[in-house]
Amino acid sequence: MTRINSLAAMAAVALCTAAAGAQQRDLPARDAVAAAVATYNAERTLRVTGVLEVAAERTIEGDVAVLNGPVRVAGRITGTLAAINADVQLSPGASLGGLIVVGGTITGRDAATVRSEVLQRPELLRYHVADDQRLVPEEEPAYDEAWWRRHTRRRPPPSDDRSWRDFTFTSAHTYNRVEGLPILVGPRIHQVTDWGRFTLEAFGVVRTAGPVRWDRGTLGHDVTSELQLGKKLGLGVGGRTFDIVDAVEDWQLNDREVGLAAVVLHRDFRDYYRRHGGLGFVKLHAGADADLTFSFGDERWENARDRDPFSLFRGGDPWRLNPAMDEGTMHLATSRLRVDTRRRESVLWGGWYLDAEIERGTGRLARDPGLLTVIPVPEDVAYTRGFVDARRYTRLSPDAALNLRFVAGGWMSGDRLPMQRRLSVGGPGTLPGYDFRRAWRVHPDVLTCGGTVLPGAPALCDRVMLFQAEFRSDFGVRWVRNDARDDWWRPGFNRHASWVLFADAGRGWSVGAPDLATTYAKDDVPPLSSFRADIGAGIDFGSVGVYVAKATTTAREPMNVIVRVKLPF
Amino acid sequence: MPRRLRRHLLAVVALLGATAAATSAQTRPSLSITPPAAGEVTRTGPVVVASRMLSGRKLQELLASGFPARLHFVVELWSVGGWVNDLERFTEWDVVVRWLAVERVYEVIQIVGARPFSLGRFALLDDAASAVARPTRAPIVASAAARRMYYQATLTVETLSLSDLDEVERWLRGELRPAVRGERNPGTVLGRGLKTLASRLLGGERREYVARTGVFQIQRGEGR
Repeated sequence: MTRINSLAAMAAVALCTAAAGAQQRDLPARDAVAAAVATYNAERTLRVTGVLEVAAERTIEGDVAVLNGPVRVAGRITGTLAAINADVQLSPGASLGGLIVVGGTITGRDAATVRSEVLQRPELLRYHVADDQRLVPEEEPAYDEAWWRRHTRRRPPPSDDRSWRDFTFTSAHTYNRVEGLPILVGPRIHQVTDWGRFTLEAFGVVRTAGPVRWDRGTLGHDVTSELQLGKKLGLGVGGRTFDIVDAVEDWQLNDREVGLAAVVLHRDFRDYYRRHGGLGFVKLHAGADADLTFSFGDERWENARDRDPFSLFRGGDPWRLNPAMDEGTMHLATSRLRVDTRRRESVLWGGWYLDAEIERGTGRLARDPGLLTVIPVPEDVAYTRGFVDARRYTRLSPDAALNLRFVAGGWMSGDRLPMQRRLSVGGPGTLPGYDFRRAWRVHPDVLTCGGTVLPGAPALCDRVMLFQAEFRSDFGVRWVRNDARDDWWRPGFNRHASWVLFADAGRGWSVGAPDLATTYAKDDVPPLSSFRADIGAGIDFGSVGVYVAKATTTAREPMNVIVRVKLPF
Repeated sequence: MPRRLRRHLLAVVALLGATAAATSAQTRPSLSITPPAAGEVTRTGPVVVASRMLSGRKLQELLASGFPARLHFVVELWSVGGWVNDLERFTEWDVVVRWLAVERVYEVIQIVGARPFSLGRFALLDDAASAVARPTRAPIVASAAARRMYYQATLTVETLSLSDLDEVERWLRGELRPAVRGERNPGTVLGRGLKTLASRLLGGERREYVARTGVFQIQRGEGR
């Protein structure tokens, strides 16, 4: 067999020599690769992996094949030198019987002697070495149009496809005026099996906001367990028991931005309440892109008093009060659909994002604790609430994208929504042209539905609707950088930046006897002319963006400057 | 100053400037993408070359200190439309360069999908840079539909230590686990996390290079 390979190599080289004389030329890829591989696999070929240096006084008899290289020849090789994924440097006086270079460059060709033809293919050759040490070139992978292949290309393979367990010490992703930095301590188990996986996270919660005591203000727990059947497509069954502080509206800004604003600027963009109870859930999942979850829970809701955690700036100022919430026990049945086909985070996205939820709540609550004129008396409550956050990310070209978002949510049926389920708009995550929970310039108050007159300015709207659109386009900032110099750490200018134009429109309203200002009948939607709108522009440096927004429907609202550490939406 | 002397001085300055610019261009990292030859566009993909990517002194120091460099390539095929262009196909791969202190060599690995492929181990950084710069054909071919198309390649270069990357990711997820294991004290890990986070937020640890081919026309029936 090796004899045949040797003959094939000689034949390939001889054939090319006869065809083209002693000239160097880029052959069709298969010819050069075939010749190089045949030379490598020939029985008498000297095989080298890595550096090969042939000194001026040295002579190598026969053929030589080199993987990766580099190859430096000042002496003589009587046979053919086949360099695969290797650069070849020929010194004056070097002499070769033949030269085949695949995936490499040749320097010094003119000063050296190559008795037969030089074959070269510049492109890298992917190959593997078989059990019998023969080199086998790999075919160029075909682009697979199958939809499931495209799906797998969209995301890297999950890194948690192995079993592990540990005892972890973790922060809870955020920082806020009620908990400070919540720290979770406890074991985690992630067991992967042939039929799916089992996960358990059993955390004790320690809150750092003072006063730190051995009580429920400082301590809590959050234990979640899930049994997942099927890896990419399948069914999950699980449960959770918790005593935690949760956010009222977590859809406006992400945890990281809320935490950074609180710890740096002494500004908290969320309200909080305590949840103590448990739930069970069934989850239908389709990989990382989509899942549908049904959960049934029984929990107690309580107020969460704000404390005075540390912040870098304005530490002497008081925090915005955490508004009083409804208190009592609730039974919650929730259905949630999540679809996320956005491709990747490193460049502009393209795809859909959908988060839709319907919640049915029944229980007994002491309501309206913020209204100090009445003493709350527990009453039976039953409500249904829906929420949809739909986004479309469209790349218009490699440098430009148009992103659209539609949010609608609120009361669907039953009694008034609890304070924990009310909504608002306004602020950096929704209408950046309007200050967060400072709606006194807006009349009527369609942003919080009157919440700003209450302590802590809670969200009081039964329903909200929001439209957001942004157009972004890359621009190069290479003119401020010099790659040849030592500027690796020059902040902000190592990537392309984007300029961004955006516009938003939204409002909230209450459901009840229509007053055509902030309250509408249950089947009515306020006219678009009553929506509050803003426009703005900014520059996004990849992870940090600086934006300017101006309200267009409220002339007195001053221009706002916003810094975001994520894409606006 | 006499006008003639001034003119000569200006000429010398311009010449020096041009020489400096040419020298800088020769040492500057560059990314290029070359489309297939006419008639081959429906059978083979473009060739991507990332030259001199390891040339910065800071990067070299980081590599020598054990911080691997990761080069992430994304090649996209776009079709030209009236108002908007459409992303037809894309492919991506990585090249990782790391210094093996015990063996005193730089190792270069190309990773396509989940499959690593060694591009070699080199005692000299220049040889490792040459391995990084090997022309790579992206397996992404144009469909036979008669359209105007172009390729774009994006290369993101970042230095990282695998442990640091893990640490940062854990920190962003809120985990402080290495500190508890006694590998580092919590203050240090938090400080390092904050420093790295700040650096990443400002884009200081990553560089991005973009190259694009010209628009080419696929003739009707080509590739059948």
